[in-house]
Amino acid sequence: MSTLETLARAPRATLEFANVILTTSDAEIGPTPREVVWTHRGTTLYRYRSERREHSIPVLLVFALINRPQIFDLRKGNSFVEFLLAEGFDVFLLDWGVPDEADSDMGLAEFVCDELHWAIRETLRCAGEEELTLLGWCIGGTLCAMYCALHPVGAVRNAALLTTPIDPSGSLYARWVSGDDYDIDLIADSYPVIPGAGIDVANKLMKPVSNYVTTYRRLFQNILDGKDPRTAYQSMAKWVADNPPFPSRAFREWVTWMYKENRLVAGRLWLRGERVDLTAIEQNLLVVTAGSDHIAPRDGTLPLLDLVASGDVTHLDRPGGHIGLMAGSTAKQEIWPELADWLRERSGH
Amino acid sequence: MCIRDRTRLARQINRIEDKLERVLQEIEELRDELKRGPAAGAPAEAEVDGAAGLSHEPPNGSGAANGASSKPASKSGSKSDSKAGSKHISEVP
Repeated sequence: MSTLETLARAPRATLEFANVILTTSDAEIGPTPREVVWTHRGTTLYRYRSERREHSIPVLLVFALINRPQIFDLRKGNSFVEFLLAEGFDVFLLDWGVPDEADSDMGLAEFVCDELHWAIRETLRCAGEEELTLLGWCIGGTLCAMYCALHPVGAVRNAALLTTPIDPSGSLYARWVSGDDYDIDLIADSYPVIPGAGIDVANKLMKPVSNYVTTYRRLFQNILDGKDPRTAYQSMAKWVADNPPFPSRAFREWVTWMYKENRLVAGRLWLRGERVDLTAIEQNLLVVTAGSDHIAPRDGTLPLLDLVASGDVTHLDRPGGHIGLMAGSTAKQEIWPELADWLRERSGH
Repeated sequence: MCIRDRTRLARQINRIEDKLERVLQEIEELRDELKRGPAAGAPAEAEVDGAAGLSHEPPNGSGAANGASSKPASKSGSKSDSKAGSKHISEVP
C-alpha cells in the first residue's frame, strides 16, 4: 500500500478502530447452548446440548480461577466446545462463578475437594457413566492434577492438562511474588477477594508492550489493510477484560504453596490432611505445553511427566502462547484435532 | 443493612449451603445404592465369600464394584505398567 493510499484510508480506519474498541462489550461469547446441571455457591456445572454423543466417557472442562471459562466456547466457528460436540463428545463445563466477599473462605481445598469433587460426581450422574475425562487449563489444570493425585483410582479415567503450572519456580510470576518483599499476608488480609482487575494488570505487565501496544497496533493495521478483525478481536478482548475476583484464601494458598514454597512438585502440599502426591497419578495423561507460554512456561510443566505413575503419558509441545495455543485462529486446525484424537482413543467402553 | 452485615449473612448462607450439599451428596449416594438393588447387596456377599477365599474383589469402592467390565481393565493396566516401571511418554512430533 502506498503512503498516499495509507493516508487516504487512515481517517476511515481510525473511526472503525474506535468503533471496534468501543463496542467490544457487545460481542457475544459462549454461544453454544447449554443447560445447568448443578450449582453450589457460585459454582455451576453445565452440560452442552448435543444430538450426537458418540463417545461414552464425558469430558469435564475446568478452567482457571482467573478469567472466565467462556474461553472454551469463545465464539461461533471458533469454539473448542463446539468442536468437541461435533466430534461426538459429551461435554460438561465447570464454571467457578464470580466470587464475592462472602467467598473469602474458599481455599484450594474447597475448590479441589469440594467443588471439583462434587462436579465430577454430578457429571457422572448426569451422563450415566462411571468414568470421565478431566480437561484442565492453566490453574484449572493444576487443580485437576491435584484431584488426580488425591484420587488416582476412581472416576477420572483420563486427564488432559493444558499449559498447567506444576513447578513454577523459574517463571516470571515466581520472580515477582516469591520474594519476602511481596507480602502475600498483607494483601490477603487487606482484601476478602483479590480484585480481578489487579490480577489482570499483573498479567498484562508480564508482556506490557504486546498487551498495551502491539494488540492495538495490529488491530489498526488489520483494519487499515481492509481485513475484518472485528469478531475475532472483540470476542477475545471481551474475554480478557472479564476478570472475576480471586478469593483471598485461595490466592494466599496459591501464591504461598506454589510460588513461594513450591510445594506441589516437591510433594509437600496437603489438602484436608491428605498429601497431594503427584507420583500417585495413574490416569491416562495428556500434557500440553506451549512454546511461547510466559504465564505457565513449559519448563514448569515438564516435571510432571517424570513424576506421575501413569503408564499412558502423552506430551504435546506446540508453538503458541498460554491462551493463543487453544483459542488462537489456528487452534481449530492444529491442536484441537490432536486433542480429539487423544480423547477418542480413550473414551470408549 | 451495611455491607458488613450483608457479607456476614452471605457467609452464613454459604455455610448452610455447604451443609445442605453434603447432605444431598449422602442422599444421592444412598439413592444410587438403592437403585442398584440386588447388585448393592452383592459386595456384602462378596465380602463374606471373600472371607472364605471365594472372591478376589476388593470390598471397598462402589465404582470398582460396578464398572467391573470396563474400568478395571484400563485402570489395572496402567497400574501394573507403572509398577513394572514401564512408563512410556509419547512425545508427539
